[in-house]
Amino acid sequence: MSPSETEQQLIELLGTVLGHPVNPSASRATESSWDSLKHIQIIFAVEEKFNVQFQEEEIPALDSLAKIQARLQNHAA
Amino acid sequence: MRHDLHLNGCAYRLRPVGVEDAELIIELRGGEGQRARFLHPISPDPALQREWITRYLARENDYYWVVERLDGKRSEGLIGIYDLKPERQAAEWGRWILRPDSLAAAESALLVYRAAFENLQLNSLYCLTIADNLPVVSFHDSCGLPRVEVLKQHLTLGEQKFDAVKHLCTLENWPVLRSRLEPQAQLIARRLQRQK
Repeated sequence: MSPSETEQQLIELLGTVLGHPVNPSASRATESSWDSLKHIQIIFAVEEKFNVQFQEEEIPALDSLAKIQARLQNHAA
Repeated sequence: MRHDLHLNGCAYRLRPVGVEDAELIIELRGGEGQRARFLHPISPDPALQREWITRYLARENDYYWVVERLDGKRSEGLIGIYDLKPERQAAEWGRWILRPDSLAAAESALLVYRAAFENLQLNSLYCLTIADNLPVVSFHDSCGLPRVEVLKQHLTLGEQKFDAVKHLCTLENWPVLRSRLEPQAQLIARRLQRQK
């Protein structure tokens, strides 16, 4: 999957979980609705959609679309 | 108050705060940044914290817990139920702080509601969140709780007054909240188990 395809799928996924459209710069700092519950929902949804599993210690740090995308790209590499 | 109310979840537990937790409380509540911004500042002096805990232990209708992992790896945070009004079977919960990398949010909240409705037999439990603390306000929204009131200039930190958002859980909507929090608590527990 190309980076742009990954980004687009993440934009759609985050938008669905957060309940409103997001852009590529979305993060817990910019999205007030990205709370602790939504964060776990996002993480598990990403894992299911992209068939990956994040380590426990990674999960809190994946706090932006960009970081999630970078982590997915590293996994695919 | 001095109590013996322990609650075990899937991956985390609540155990009563004691005087021996003074340094832990300072560690968790101290620091800077966003998390500390919405907390009442505390002294870094363990002796003063032990005095506070001693006074807390002598108070009635006030429950303070340490949030711990069931596997004993570390303490995750703090949480409490206080200002309990026996005549109304109502109380407030808060004093909630977790380590930045903790995954205990869902289950620690679930356990405190469980304490309220299943152990203390309360009819309602509310929380007051500084309106500017958007992620925590959103957390309570995500639990399915209604915002019943916005209290203008209600909470004071330092010299600044803040509006407070009040979320209320009653016996009636406790099942809804439980249905939101339990699945996530179970998912997290399974993940932590898999990675042992």
